Amino acid sequence: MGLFDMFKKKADAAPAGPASVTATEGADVVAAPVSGRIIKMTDVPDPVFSGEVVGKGCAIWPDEETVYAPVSGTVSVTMGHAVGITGDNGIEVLVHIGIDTVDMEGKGFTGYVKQGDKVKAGDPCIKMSKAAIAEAGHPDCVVCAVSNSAEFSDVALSVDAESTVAAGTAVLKVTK
Amino acid sequence: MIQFSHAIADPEGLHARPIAAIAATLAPLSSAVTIRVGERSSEARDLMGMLGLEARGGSTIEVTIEGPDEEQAAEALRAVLP
Repeated sequence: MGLFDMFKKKADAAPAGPASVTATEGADVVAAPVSGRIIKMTDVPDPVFSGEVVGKGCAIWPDEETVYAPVSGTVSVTMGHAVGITGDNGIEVLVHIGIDTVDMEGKGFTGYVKQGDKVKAGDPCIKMSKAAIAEAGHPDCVVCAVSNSAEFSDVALSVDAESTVAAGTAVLKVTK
Repeated sequence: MIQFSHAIADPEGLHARPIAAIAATLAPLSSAVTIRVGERSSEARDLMGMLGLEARGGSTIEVTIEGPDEEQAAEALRAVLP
């Protein structure tokens, strides 16, 4: 096998993703992108997120490594450690895995979607390596931010903070 | 209207942190601010649009500002662009 075959193989091999989970959908619903312990956005250990600069929402300390689409819609951005989805319901959600994980340059993350893809809530988007994030010295909390929060009157948790949620559970209620 | 180019010095490019800083800086101002990278462009306060530009370190962005406080917006933006 020559060098170019190796590159070709790499480019062709779309990683087979994990199975989808059943997610709650609705005009005003954002589902949990990962299973784990949910916290308020204001409790995220980073001022950009806790100050709700990226948007209102929540974050989840993950128990598992697969991150799923929180809404059905179109993938607007993928960055290795983050995915943005413009929901068919008008809700734009940025799912950002970990704090300062941009410096890992995608290492430790496997993406299953690309910009422009149509996804259904509960479809797998990214798999993280919790070990790789820990090794890089970063918190692995998964931020779920409604990036167009300004277009809504309210974005509120629909489950208790500090409770454990399964991926796909309705966790945010978005009010027009 | 004010237009200028800016080379992204941060090797990590326009990621969530600088984009959030740009949006927060421009929030109190009313001028329209458009950022263009190659074929793609976005309103500077649109987080998802800005992330979608995928502006990497070393790339050049074209900034267009138009509005009543455009000089103030240009000065604030120059201070916060990575």
